[in-house]
Amino acid sequence: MAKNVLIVDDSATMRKIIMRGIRQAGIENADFKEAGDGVEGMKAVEGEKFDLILSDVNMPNMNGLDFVKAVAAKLGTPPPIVMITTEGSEEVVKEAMSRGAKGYLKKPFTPEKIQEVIGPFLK
Amino acid sequence: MAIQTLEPHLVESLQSSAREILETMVFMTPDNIEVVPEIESSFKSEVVGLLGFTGTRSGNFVVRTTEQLARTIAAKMLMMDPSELASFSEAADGFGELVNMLSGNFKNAWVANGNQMDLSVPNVIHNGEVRVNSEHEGSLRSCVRVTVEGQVLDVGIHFESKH
Repeated sequence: MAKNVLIVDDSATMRKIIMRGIRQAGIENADFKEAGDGVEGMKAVEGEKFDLILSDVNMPNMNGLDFVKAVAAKLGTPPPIVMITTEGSEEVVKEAMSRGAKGYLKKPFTPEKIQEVIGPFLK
Repeated sequence: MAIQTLEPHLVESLQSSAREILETMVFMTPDNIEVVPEIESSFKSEVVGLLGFTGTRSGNFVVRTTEQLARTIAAKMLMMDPSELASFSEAADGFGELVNMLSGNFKNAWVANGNQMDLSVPNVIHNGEVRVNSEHEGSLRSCVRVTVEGQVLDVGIHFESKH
């Protein structure tokens, strides 16, 4: 059965790269929805149930860390959220995890790394 | 004014991350990556990616290249031919993401030294002119020049004076 995956990133190019990377990682059971920032992401999660959310950190309007917090506050029991970010510093990762993220994938990434980090959430 | 440059290990981290990002995300292997003097603080390239930062020091990443290479980078990220890009805005989005990754990876090296850095989102300027504030005493500038497919990509970092 297909898994419903929301990708939140202000770059349309990066959203496409993430979708391509997931397929290259051999994960074929994902249906993708896209949002351009945290505000659009919130509208998406209010209207639809997702199995996994992948979110950038550095975005306009509502950044990824605030988005994670808002999703947790809205849904109570949110789907797993994995941060996809260039900012792999310990500080940002700790902050994301403390707000409810379940993992993070640092850019640049390989299909092998996608499989390792995201694969378990889509089984 | 003598131009001061970043510490060597920070420049080396920029060189290695530029290679890793191009090879992993853009599927392009650089022919050469070298450190070059960052003489100017005003830029008039065909394409300029600008990303500001604040924190321990304020400043800007200024990434310059030709329109041809910006289009190629964006297209290769998407596994397309450059001719398939519908408009320059698609190329700008992909090039902006390159700037974002370069900046974010540099930030990781910078904060590992105990510094702070908050990044803006990237802006890509097409056929415009950009001037950054790095001319005062105490400013720092460094540049890494990447040559790929016969074209040049200059990755500049400009730290403003502390005062």
